[in-house]
Amino acid sequence: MAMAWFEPANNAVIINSYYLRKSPKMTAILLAHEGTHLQWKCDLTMGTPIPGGGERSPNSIDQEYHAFLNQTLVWEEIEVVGEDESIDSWAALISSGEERAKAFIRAVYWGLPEY
Amino acid sequence: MKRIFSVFFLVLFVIMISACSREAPVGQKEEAKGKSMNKDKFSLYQSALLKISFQYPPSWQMKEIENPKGSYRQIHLVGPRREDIGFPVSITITAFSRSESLKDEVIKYLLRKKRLKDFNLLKRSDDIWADETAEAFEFTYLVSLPLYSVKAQQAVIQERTIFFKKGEILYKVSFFVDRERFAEFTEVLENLKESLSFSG
Repeated sequence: MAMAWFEPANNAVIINSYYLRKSPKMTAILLAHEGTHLQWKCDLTMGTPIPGGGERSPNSIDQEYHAFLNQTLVWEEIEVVGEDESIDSWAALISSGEERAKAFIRAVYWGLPEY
Repeated sequence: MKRIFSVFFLVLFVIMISACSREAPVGQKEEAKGKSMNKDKFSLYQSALLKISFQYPPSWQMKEIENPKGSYRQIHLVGPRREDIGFPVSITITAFSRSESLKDEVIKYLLRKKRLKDFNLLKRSDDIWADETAEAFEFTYLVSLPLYSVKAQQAVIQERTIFFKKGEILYKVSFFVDRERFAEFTEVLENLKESLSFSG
């Protein structure tokens, strides 16, 4: 089960109760991730066209990467280092560069389209 | 009151179940842009995107990726997945359109890599790839897997990354998998190296 998820049909973000109770900072991090999915639902292009044109998919490796990226930016901003080892390790992975981070996300979510 | 709670938990349960379906289906086949032909154990893949060909296990899956900013093009191959951590063996071949000297790129790469959790450089060595001088690195780091899961556990990922330049293009080949299966799949990387050829 995911830590949190976005329900596009209801525009709802669901956060696992364990993380909701853990700390407000953890909630902020997960909201940053899921809020990105909501933001991309409103504007799938996010100002960046797909190579070769075409429409973006409702979810994609590119979108997941940006969700993890925003989560990491909040993680850095509100200094949550050491509170959750999973969040720490993913933040480190995202910080290691876009190309590398996307390859890792793609390996996990292989069925998702790139854009 | 009890009834209200029962309905509430039922709705919550349904939401949780539907969320599971949000995760991408594992092993979904994506059509490869290229030609392949059967050999004894490996197939030959010809990539128009990177203008290279190499051999790979026919059961592995492949994608070709172009970065929207045009900074790199990549072929990503994945092999068998370890289900408990939801992670497959992967090889990426990346061509960077803008590159500095090999040495500068390697330093930049290592600085980024050191941000990884418990990064541990196991080996740094000189190598030859596609008749070019190459620099190879082998290292481990920790990542919680399955990704974004409440059941995530710390997994040690082992990676071998090789840099070389062909003409003005910088190439990076990365082979990464959980440490327990690293030795099992190095043959695939070695075969890719031996069969790699450039057409343009």
